[in-house]
Amino acid sequence: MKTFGRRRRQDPFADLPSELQRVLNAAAAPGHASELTGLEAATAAFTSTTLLERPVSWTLAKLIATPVAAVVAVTGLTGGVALAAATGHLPGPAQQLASKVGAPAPNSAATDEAGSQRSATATAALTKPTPGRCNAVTRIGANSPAAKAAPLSGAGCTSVKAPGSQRSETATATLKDKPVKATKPAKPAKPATSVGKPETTPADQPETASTGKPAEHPTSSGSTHSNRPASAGKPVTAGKPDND
Amino acid sequence: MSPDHHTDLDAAVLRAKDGDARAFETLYRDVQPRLLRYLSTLVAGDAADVAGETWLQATRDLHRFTGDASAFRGWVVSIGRHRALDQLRADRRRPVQPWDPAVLPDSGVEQDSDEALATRRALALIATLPQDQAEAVLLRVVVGLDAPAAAKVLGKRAGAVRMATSRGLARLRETAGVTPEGLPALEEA
Repeated sequence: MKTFGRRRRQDPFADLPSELQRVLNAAAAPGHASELTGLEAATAAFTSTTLLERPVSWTLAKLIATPVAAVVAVTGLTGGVALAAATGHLPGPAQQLASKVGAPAPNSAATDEAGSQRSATATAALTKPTPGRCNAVTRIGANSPAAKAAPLSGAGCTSVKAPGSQRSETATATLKDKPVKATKPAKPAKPATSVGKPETTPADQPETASTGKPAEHPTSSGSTHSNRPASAGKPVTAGKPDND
Repeated sequence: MSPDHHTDLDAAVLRAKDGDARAFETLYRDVQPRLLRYLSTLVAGDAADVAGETWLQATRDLHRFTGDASAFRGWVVSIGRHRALDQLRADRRRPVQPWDPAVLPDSGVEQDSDEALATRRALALIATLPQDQAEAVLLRVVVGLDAPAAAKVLGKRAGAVRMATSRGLARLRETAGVTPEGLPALEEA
């Protein structure tokens, strides 16, 4: 009776000639500066998406737009405003208005300047008037079919349509013109529209430990480099990893 | 890639899911060059646009993703691949296969470094392979996926990916030293 031995799987990257090693090394070289020109726009889009999808209480606590705070205060949502005011995260005029409607004075007026700049950039990327274009997509990929097909809405933009996603509407909508729709029924209503030109002075991003959430099961094999050539396939690390 | 870097990227995935923009930047710096290079073999000059759309979708759907940094890489590239194929269907174009220096991805930088030029030439050489072999080689070498993860991106079995990788490398062995007309040999770059 024949028995079939298990064929040993050969490593395709073993014993490559030097010329081919050089090709593969070049293909897998660390990222070049020219390949990271979309970093700022992508980060701005990420920041805006993250802010819009947060619960209202979180958003108010990290308020970035003075007109939003003013309207919220006037409409009587003092809980969130009180929190924001108490933590000193409301800009000056809004802080004064909040005080008038009964919010406590802040203990500290500290704000995160770096966070202000980051969110200013994010909002600038989204709200900079660019006729005929979704601003975030303009910075990231202006000539894509999705960008060209995106409906126009003045200085803001409404969507970059992703298959099956309704979040594109909220992801790219600005705080400027339209009320932000809640994407989940369980979430409370979003703040009302901003008044006037939004000034983005955001608070700092929450520093969450990596163990803040339960460990998540990997969905694919954890070993990614077991079959990579020893010398070819250098990690494509564009720039410094910044993981603090 | 060092084990520490693996760990850092894994942590960055978790923090990015929690809204940490710095963590997102870290992931972008790791994935974007790989994504661009992979997409360049599918959509050539439109790779940057497709990559931008990919990140928008990945950002929106990040809350649904679970896995480590390697899985994240494969996930983003998978989104990019779908976007690229959608664009090809819309444009009714075929992926670039013949060596055509005119369609090397435009970096947008006036003067590429020598390393960047070498990368572009290497990618153009890989792009001469049949599509399935080019994709397999890129996913394995450039994106850094193992065979099962690459198979997941391509919607194939791991064995098919291994076969395509082997065949692609065999072809490249023959052509790595060949000089297309008008271009210097890679070893002189």
